[in-house]
Amino acid sequence: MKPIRDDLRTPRFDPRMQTGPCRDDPKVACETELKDRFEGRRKAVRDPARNHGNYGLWAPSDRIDGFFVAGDQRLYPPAADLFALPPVVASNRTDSTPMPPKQRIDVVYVNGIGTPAAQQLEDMQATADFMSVKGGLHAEVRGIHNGTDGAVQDVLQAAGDKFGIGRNRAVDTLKGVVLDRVASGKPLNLVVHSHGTIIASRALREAKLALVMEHGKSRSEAESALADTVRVMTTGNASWRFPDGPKYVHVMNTRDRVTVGLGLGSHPDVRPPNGGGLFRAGGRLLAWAGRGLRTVTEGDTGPTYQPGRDSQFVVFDRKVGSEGGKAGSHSYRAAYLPEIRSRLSELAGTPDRGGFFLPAHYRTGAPSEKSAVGAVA
Amino acid sequence: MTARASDFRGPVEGALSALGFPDDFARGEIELRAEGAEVWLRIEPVGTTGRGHQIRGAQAAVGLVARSRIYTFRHPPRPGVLEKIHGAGRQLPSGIRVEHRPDTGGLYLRRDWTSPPGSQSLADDLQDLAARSLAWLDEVLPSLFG
Repeated sequence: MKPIRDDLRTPRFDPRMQTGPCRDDPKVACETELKDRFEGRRKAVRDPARNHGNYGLWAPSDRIDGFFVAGDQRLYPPAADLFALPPVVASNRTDSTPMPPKQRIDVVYVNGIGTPAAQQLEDMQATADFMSVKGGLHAEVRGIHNGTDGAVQDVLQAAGDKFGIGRNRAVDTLKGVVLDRVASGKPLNLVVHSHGTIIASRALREAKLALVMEHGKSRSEAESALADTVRVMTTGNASWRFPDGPKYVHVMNTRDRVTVGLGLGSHPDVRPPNGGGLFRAGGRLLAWAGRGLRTVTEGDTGPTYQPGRDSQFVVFDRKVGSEGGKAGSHSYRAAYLPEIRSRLSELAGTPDRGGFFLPAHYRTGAPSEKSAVGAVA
Repeated sequence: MTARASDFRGPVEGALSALGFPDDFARGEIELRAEGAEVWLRIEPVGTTGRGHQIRGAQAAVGLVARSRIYTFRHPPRPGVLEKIHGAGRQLPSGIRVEHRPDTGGLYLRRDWTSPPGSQSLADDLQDLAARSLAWLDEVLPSLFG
């Protein structure tokens, strides 16, 4: 057991970051320009009292783990009302008036490993653009930041979550958002990437437990409440297990070693267009080894893969080159290649238009939703 | 023979060192966060009700208590939930028990030492407690409620 966050005990930064108004007061944003953080420049903070120090590319994310990322390029503490924050909208949307619920899809995006908040903002923009292409629908995307301590520590954290030994502040934030939406009956569309899929998996599991243990629902009632409210699209999937209840679309590139080795990419039902070859075989070996480890250490003999009872796969096989340090086939942008994008755009509508996501006005029991989305895998 | 707080200092320092944590036990308590686990280790009076009130007739003494968080209730648990959890807790090895603290909403696995343990033994026990608490969140609670 090695401390991966011992820097919390010996802060290298101004401790006001942890206890100051921007963390405690939901109405106060952390007025640090994300672009400046991304580029590793010195802070651009309006109030000198909130001078948090010179954040590098990775260091600040630990401090903003679980924070909300809004369309005004600011970070807000988890106590804020997420859906009252300004969203990221499609680049071609020029009308600044709020969209009526029938034309709006509320989306929450959780980033993966090695993604500073500024990069997350770019991914949110890509999400808003791709989801706003169909039938006059407008996606409004807000983010939950999965703090990045550095690539190595993140991999450890991901592996920890993988084998059931991880906890993450973004999990607590997302769990709170899920429970709020279930309680209000308003839909929640999650788009999660890479390590974000592990966070979503864990947050949804904890939310389901909370519904049973704290809100008095039966297991089936909890699953039904989640099915009515939550839609999840995973990309660069890194989790084997998702709880029954929410509906899922797993978008997977079989050339993505993370998805194949750590996620559902080597699920027996996932059949890539050209077989996937050795890459897939290696992934299955890794998955088998992981299961073996769990069997030995925790007595777990259950199935390794649990994609969620109501889930479908969108599978493609395309090697993507690395540009600008981005992670090639595993990158979030890999899901937006032209040929994939056309398939995803089919999902990027609401059930009454043959899509997957729930519009903001949707309420439990809408008949069109029941008929349009069925279990595929 | 009752143990004193200072008797536990050496073993705790050794265990923290073995686990790779800096020695920060001067106040008789420390919070360990590692690989997602959260373990609180502290010197506490033993033979009390748990809120510091001494049980009548019990001798004033201290012990070392480790708690590893399983789950935090944001709302009070529904009737019957804690009974089920404590029922599952009977399967735990001797020395480990489930504890719910209504003041914080925390659900913990707890282990007590009334006499100073060996450093390595303490380090192993802390690791075991942390791993078990996370397994409870992943496996035991879902099997009961999820």
